[in-house]
Amino acid sequence: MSEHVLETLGPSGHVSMTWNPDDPDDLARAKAEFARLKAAGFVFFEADAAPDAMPPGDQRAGPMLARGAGRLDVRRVEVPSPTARRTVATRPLQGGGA
Amino acid sequence: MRLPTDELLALVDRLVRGALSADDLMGMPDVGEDDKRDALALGLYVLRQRIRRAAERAGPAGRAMALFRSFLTEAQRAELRRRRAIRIVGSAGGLYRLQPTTGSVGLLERHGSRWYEVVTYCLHDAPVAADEPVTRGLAAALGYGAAAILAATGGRMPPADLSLAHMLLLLADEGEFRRLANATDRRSETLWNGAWLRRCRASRRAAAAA
Repeated sequence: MSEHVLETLGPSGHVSMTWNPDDPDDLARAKAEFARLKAAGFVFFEADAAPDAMPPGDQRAGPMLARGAGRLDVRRVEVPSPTARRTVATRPLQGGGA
Repeated sequence: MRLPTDELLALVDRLVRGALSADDLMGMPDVGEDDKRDALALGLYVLRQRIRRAAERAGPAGRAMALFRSFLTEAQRAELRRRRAIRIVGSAGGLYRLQPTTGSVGLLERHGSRWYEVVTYCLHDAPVAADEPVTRGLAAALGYGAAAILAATGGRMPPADLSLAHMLLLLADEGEFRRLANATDRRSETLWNGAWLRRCRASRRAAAAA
């Protein structure tokens, strides 16, 4: 069974929700959660790749960045897909005093 | 006659592991009263530290750090252990340093053999208020009352969750990150001006020798 996960970031720490996209009830639950978070103003990112399976990344800072840093496949999406492996929902960010 | 340190620590270790009870320790005829008192105090200290760390790991900040780490490669996790920070390359090619213990983020530039943080950014989630629609949605999504969320957190995400949001936005849309964030330019040639640094060192040496 493939498991997909939504991580919702918030002031009380993140909350994880998992679902199986092959299960219609699970899928409906995930879609309802996405709709609720969207209505609350959350921003969504989808990340499909597992970090250790990423292709080689930037070499400028030496071996630390040789594997994957900066190459994690992340997309910012307006409407999250319940078929994405890993979705992160975060409240909108705004500039503050640097 | 006091016990050697390694024997005292072995007693503490047995106490902490539960292999030796406090009553058994107090009944040991070959251990002096001072050593018994020290072993109990040290054992209590170790247990308190473990409980405190476990509570931190189970709390929002600890869980946020665990989530942040789950998005890193093995090399980045090693870098985080060593430096308490990681470097990432944004979608437009900028090199950034993220510090998940504080939530800070900065742009790096290399001068000579060293990296310098030349711009720092401030970008965070707005503190929520109890009467905002977003708070009601958040409370519903997270299963807590809005007042409890505000009282416990000041209305903002833990630093590691904020760093995760920074990382995802930088990787997905670096231009948007720079558009949203307030930037403070910290470029100062004195940081990496070799001639100036040599003059400083020479001046310090002269002052020390005088």
